[in-house]
Order: sequence, then structure tokens, then C-alpha cells
Amino acid sequence: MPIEIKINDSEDPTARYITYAPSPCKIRQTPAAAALTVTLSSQAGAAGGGEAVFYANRAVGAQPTPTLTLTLPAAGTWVDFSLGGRPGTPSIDDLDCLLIASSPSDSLTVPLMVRVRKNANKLKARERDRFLLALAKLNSTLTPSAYQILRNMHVQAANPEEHGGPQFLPWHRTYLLDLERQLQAIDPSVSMHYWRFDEPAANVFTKLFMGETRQSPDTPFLVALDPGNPLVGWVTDSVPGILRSATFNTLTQAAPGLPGFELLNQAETLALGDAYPQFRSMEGTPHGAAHVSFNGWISEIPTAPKDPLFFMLHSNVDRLWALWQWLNLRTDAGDPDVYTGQNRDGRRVNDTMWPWNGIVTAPRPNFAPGNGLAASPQTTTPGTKPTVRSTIDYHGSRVGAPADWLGFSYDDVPFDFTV
Amino acid sequence: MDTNDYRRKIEQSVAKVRARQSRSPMRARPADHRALVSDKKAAAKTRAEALGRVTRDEGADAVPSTALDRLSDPKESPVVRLAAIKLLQHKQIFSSVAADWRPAFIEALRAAVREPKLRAAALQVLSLYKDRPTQELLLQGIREPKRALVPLHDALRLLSNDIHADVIDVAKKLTNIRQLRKNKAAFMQAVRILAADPGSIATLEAVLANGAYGVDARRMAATAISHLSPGALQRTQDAERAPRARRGAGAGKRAAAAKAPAKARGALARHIETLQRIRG
Repeated sequence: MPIEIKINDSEDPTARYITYAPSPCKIRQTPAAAALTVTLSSQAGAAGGGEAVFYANRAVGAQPTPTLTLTLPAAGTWVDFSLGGRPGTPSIDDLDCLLIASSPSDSLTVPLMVRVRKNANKLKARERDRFLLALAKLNSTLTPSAYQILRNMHVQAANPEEHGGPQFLPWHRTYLLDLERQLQAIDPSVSMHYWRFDEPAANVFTKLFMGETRQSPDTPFLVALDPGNPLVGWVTDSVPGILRSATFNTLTQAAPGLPGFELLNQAETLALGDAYPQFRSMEGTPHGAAHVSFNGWISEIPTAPKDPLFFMLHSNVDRLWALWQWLNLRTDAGDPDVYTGQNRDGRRVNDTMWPWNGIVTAPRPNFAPGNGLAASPQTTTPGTKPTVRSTIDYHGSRVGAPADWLGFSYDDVPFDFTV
Repeated sequence: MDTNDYRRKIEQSVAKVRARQSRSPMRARPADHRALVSDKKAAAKTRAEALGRVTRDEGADAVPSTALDRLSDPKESPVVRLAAIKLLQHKQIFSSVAADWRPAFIEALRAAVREPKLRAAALQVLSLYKDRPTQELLLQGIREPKRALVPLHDALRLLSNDIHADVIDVAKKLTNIRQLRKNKAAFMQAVRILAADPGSIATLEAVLANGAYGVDARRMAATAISHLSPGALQRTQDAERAPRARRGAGAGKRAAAAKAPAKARGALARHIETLQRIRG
């Protein structure tokens, strides 16, 4: 069938990754004598594969549909449409979701992936193993490794850029995105999965995943890893292994935090308040409380990213923010209930963020690791120098506003159009 | 997934929390928590929990002076002081004025090292901070075991957080001491540290080739070699396949390798294959 389709407005096959947000797509027929009517649909390409849905227009309350019928002009003009992952049916494997364009005479099938961040405790073994291998490769290749460069961003001297203020959530959202995009450059089917610290995670703290983690009140130990786990090659600061113990039973309990300063669960976190100044107190608990539920690297800011669990912990922190945003329709960065800045560089809504902006003059640190935020084949936003603003509407939900779609979703945070 | 149903469920869970919070008896005031912390007649565990409430309630912008005071008081219960260490560690993560009180925290931790019940926790934090006086104390304890604050394997683990030439020197000497092979935990930590020393490849290869060392230390040596010299991976795999034929292996080593359980050799082979997969 003489039809061409662009996913994420690109003909590049590496752009064929979608999330729960509507991805901008185009379709056309090669110039012909008459217009052509096609129906778009989607189905899983394998058992448990991803499925997509279609958005006919961008409007508050607009619901996605399982099919979409379009008329392609005879002149071969591109016709816009949007598709996103069907909530609850993300992909497991690369390109296991099929987009099908059917006309009365023929059909075209385009494989793609509904790629979302998932609960690490519920991953299929092959999803887990792809994630671990990409992570291990990122930390092993080149000197310094790309992972080391990321670690160099999360250091004591940069603390005011990252912690202790309203920028905490936007900065770490960007930090996660930087890592995730670099992982996806190694294996595009990988996402930055999250560890739900308010639930027991018997499948996470195993030799096959983040390492069997001993329980101890005050002494960290080397976590135990299966010989086939790619983390057996984990080396940081030239020393192998991961130092971590937990103050709790990682297989049967949620992370507790500290007596008197306990870890808030998901509902308690969302109940902190409907406005950003209240909600951002989650930096203390559950975020900080999750960190100090362990002994070892992850319990201190400068050493925390030495432990790969750090990024899964932060993915859950970011998921909680995303869930809060969705629940309270908090996507307009100009609204102080959505983000309330402070009068310091890097904390105002329109400020760029260190180190991606490359600024090395006070009050920023006098160094800036990396060369800007990693690029994505799926979206051009937020560019190499993200602002606080660019992190807020990560799903590109706002109708009539420039889409700041960042190219990620969480498996349990749906998409809705907002004003 | 029906997103409307899902939204309702989440809203209900939040409403339930808020209802519980509004039903609960009047929350104790911060002053009450502080009073409880000061009440030496109360159980130490209760006071430690009250200290947690005080530290939580004072928020991100205040210096956690109550916890700092409790940690700094040598007459205070170790239970309360231990809680203070963890709470101050927690507060360092999100305090907007963390830099202002960090020196006082470090000073209090150095003093806490003298208290045996606080030592492990204090040394852990100080070693993560790369505190030089702490490193010197640990090195001194390795050189003069009678003055050691902690067992050898703990000292090496703590020192591994900040590798310097003196730490590598200590690890080199230890891996050459025959006696240390019986102290598996310490030997393992010493091998870890040698991964930072390109001059130690031969030692690491010897550990890898010798079944007498135990599979955990040999796996650690394999990772260290692949880090120092990825090209040496093939050589290490050859060593694993034919340990008894390895050049330079003495009769004792050959005998030990022959006795190494097949399961252990299998784990090591898989470990090396995984290392190659990462590099591949």
C-alpha cells in the first residue's frame, strides 16, 4: 500500500516509541488519482504486548478511541493524528505493539513500543535483565563512564542546585530523564523503572536484581549478586561492589524511615496538600526517609548514586509527583499552586538548571559535568538546557500550550488533557 | 484501566488519610515532643521517637539543634544518640541550611566514635564524608591491631569509600599475608581495594587462578581485573577453564583448585561470562 507513516513526526525507526501521552504522528499516501480512506487501529504483536489508542483532537475531556478513520488527500499531503499507549497495556518487549493502517484494498503494519516506566517489583525477567544490562554498560564503557559523569552532578558542592528547595522535584525529574535517555541509547526498549518504597519488594532485593540486601541497624555490607546479574561488573570510584544494608526486611516490609520521622505511603504523600508548597515537603518524607532506611552509599547525597537503587528510588519520587500532578490537574507552570519558586538562580520557574545549562559562575558551582541533557529520537523537548518550566507539563497535557512532552510515562499515571 | 474509576480510587485513598488525620486526637505540640526528649525519666526508645518528631516538625529551614545537642552530649543515652545520628543524616538530605550545621555534625560524629555503641554508625557516616582524621584512625588500627577500633574487614570496607595510596598499600600488604586468607571477609575487602591499583593485576590474577581462595574472592578478583584491563578478561577465563594447568601455580594451589567444588567453578565461569557480556 503506498502509505507512509511518521511516528513522533519522524520517519526514523528509532522514533517509534510512545508513552501514554499522545504522540504527534503523520500519515499520507503517495500522490494518486483519488483520496484514500484509511482506518487506523492497534493490536498487540505478541501475548502481553502493548496497545495504542488514538486522539482525534486535543481538547479537555477528549477521550481516546481504539480506531481512527482518516481521509488521505490525493495530492499526498501529510495528515496529522495522535496516538498514545492504551492505559494498562504497555509493552513488555521492543516493538511488540502494532499500528495498523487499513484501506479497503490493503493494509500497512508499523511495529512500535508503548514504553513506560514500571513498578520494578512487577517486571518480567526479560524487562529486568535488559534494564540491568543497559545500566551496567553505561557504567562500564569509556573513562569516565557516562554513569560517572551523571554521578559527578550529584555531589556536595552542587547541593543547593538540587536539594532543600522547590527545585528538588524538577531537578531530579531532569536527572532521571538524562539517565533514561542514555540507557535508551544503549537499548531503546529500556525505561527508568521505579521502586515503590512504600510496599514490600521481594522481587527487587534479590540476587538477580538490585542485590540481596542484609538487614543491619548500622553496618553496610556488599550486596549479594547472582553471577549472571550484570551488576557483578559494577565498579564505582575504581572499587567493585555495592555497599548497602537495610534497617528493615526488604523482602517482607516497606521502607520504614526513622522512628518519629516515618516514611509516608503513597496516599499520605498525596495528602500532604493540593498546592506545591505543601506537596514539596515530600523531599523530607517519603524521599529522605527512603534514603535513610538503608545504611551505605544510598544514605548520603554525594555517594547515593553510586548505588543503582538510587535511580529507582528517585523514579518513584518522580512518579509520586506525576501522580499528584495528574490528580490535581497541576500542569500550568505559571500557577503558583503548580510550582512555587524561590528567588535564587535555578529555582525560578523560567530558570535553566545546572549543570545542563553549563553555567559555572556563582551562585552555581564552578564546574558543570556533561554536555547538556541527552537527546531523544522521540522528542526535541526540553532541549539540551532544560528550564524548571519545561519539566512541569511532562506529558504535554495542556491544550493550546506548546507541548513539553518529555517522552516518558509511568504505568499507573494516566494521561488527561488539561487547561 | 478505567481512568475515571482509577481517579476515584486515588481520591478515596487520600480522603481516607485526611479523615484519619482529622479524627486523630489533637496532635502533640512540638513543645511537648521537645519536653519528652528532655525527660530523662522516660524510656530511651520513647525519647528517641520524640526526637524524630521534633526533627520532622522543625522543617527543612531550621538547624536541627535538638538532635545536634543530643548527639553531642556524652552523658546522653546511646539509644537517643544513635537516633540523632540517623535523624541528622536524614536532615542533611533535605535541609535548606545543611551546609551551616554540617561541621557541627561532623565534630559530634568524631566524638561519638569513642562510644562503642555508636561507633559503627558514626564511622559509617564519617567514612562516606571522606573524613581524613577518621581514615587515619582506621589505618592506624590496621597497622597496630591492638589499637583497632573495628575488626579488620570493617576497617577496610570503611576505607574503601575513599581510596588513597596509603589504603592501597595496606591492601597490598594484607593480600600477601598468608594468614589473612583465613579471614575471608577481610581478604575480600582487600581484593576490592586492589581494583583501584593497576599495579596489582598480577596479584588479582593469582587470586583468580587459585581455587583455595574461595569463589567470592575470586569473583571479586575477576571484576577487578575486567575493570583494570578489559583485555585481560579472556586470559582470566582461560585461567578459570584450566586452573590446574596454569603457569606458576604450585602444587598446593593445584591441589586446592582440584578440590574446589564444581558449583563454585560454574559460578565463577558465569561471572566472567557476564563481565564479557557487559563489555561486549
